[in-house]
Amino acid sequence: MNTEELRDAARVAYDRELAKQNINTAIESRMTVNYGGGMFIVTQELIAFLHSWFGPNWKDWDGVIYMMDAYDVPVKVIPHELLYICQRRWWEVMNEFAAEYEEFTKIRNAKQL
Amino acid sequence: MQNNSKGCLIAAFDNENYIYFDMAMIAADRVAKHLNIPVTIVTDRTDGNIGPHKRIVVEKPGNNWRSDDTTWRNLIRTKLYDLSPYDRTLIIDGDYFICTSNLLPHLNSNVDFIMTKQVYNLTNHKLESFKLGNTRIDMYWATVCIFNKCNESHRIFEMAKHVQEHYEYYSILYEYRRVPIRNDFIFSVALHLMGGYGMKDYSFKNYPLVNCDSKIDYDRFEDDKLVYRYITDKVYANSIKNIDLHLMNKDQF
Repeated sequence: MNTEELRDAARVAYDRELAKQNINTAIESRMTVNYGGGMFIVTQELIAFLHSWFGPNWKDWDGVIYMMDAYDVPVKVIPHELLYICQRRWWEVMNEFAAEYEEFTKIRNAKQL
Repeated sequence: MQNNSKGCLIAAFDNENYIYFDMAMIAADRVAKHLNIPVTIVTDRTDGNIGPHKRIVVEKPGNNWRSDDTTWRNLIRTKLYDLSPYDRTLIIDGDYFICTSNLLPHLNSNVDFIMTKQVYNLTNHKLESFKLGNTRIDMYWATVCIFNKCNESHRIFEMAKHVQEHYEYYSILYEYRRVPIRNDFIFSVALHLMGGYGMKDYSFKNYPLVNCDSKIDYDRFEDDKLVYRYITDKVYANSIKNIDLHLMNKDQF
């Protein structure tokens, strides 16, 4: 690197908040699963909703419900099946997110990119 | 036609400045790698190694002048419904770099027609939706589109052909710039009309388009990670990875 290039490199700033949001956006767009011909966005709310079918009064119930998928198409859902798929996806993606976030915390300036 | 087949179409017509065919080949290899679906390149070129992909040879579409005085052979998009050999088709631009399998859940869903609308801004981390012209209808980006061979998609593409044919009229009606002719505008108008004058949303859910446009400079692109620079109050550098990228600055390839 010549002096001019070194000077340019030193002047480049790094926006940590933007870097964090870039990771979040990439992670969020991975939080989708297919089930019964539909597409669902995996959220904490969806996981909690599916789990609610296993409360005290629904114990041992193994029926079918209908849900709208992300594209507003009604899909026949067996709650425990979709719950398992969502939980697995959540686990995979959030583990990746944790690894990436750890890398991100080590970056202090643009030169480390 | 193959039954229940899924595949990707990429249009590629070279002009005096860029070899779009080579760009499309890179994009096609990425689709095959990350999505594992067959790819067909729609082109006027009969030469050039097509690798494992397929090719549909058509006549080069007419000139479309850009502001930088180069010709732009982009006016085939509205015919891709008729040309597609697949039951469910993914269309991407030749400069769209698939870096993930994020499109698979959308491709495996049942929705008949979707097109990108939300854009992630790489300089201010905002999710943005644009409006078209002074009439402010929703603007869609024809960069990525998935459709089934079905009545609804057929009607949308037929309307898009009509809008393209009468582009000047619609540019006056919807009050947007007439030159150059943009597929984004054609489909925005077609979707507005066919969706009950804006009543229906045809956008991808949870899949923002990441436009790497003239506001940023590419520093390097390796292992599906883009390091880029941009200027706001000062010069910044940042990076993004594990997301599909629309690398619009062809000079920087």
